[in-house]
Amino acid sequence: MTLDGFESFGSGSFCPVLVAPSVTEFLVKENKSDRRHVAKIGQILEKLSVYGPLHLNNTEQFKHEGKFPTGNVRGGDVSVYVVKAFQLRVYGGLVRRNGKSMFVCIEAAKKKKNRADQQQLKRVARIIGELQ
Amino acid sequence: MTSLNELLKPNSNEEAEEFAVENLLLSIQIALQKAMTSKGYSQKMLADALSVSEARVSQMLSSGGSNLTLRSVGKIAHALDQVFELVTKEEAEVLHTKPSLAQDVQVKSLMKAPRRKAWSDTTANENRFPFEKAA
Repeated sequence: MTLDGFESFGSGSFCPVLVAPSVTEFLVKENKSDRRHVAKIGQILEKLSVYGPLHLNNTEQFKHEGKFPTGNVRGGDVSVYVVKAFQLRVYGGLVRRNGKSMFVCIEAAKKKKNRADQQQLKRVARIIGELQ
Repeated sequence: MTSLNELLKPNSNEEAEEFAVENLLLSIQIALQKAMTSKGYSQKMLADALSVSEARVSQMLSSGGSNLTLRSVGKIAHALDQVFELVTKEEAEVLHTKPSLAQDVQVKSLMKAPRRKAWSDTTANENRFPFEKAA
């Protein structure tokens, strides 16, 4: 299962993990100064494809950030999750297509404050809604 | 543009080793977190059970994983009243997804084991002391 322009990552049987080009671009840039934590993000995404978000949830490295509106006509909120390694953050959520789920990484950022950027989380939820 | 899969390939043997260590650490952290969730333990409750600060528990479970030694893993397992086994990924997958296959593998390997030779010593039960009486 793929999405145009997204890279498939992870070999687990729970769900494929798809990464947006902007996330890869961010990680390539960060890799120059902080390869250790970029690699950690990759390892968490790999585990995510093996166990799924439920088993990883509420860990120090993977958290449910909350539910946010998709802005779709059909309405509804979607869960936004964050993958964390030191100051690096990758935001995404589950997208269900043709009866199958995939975890899609939509945006990435470097942590500046303790509280996540709420505008960014809302934007991620809207994109997840568009991909559904 | 470089893909994420290419980016995260280890560049050297040293890096591959470091990735392997980090990966095992992450697996252990996930296992501990899952055990905490299933037992309804918060980080604070675990910190109290281990007589350490909550910050230290958080540190053990965060991406750096500092202070997480095998001894501390054992202490956490004991505090959570859980038992952990260290198995290879392949073994875990077989045991997790196809327990009957795991049984087959064991049975086949036992069947392959060299068979014991049939009993050939026909004199073993002979009375070697026919003229002696039992005490």
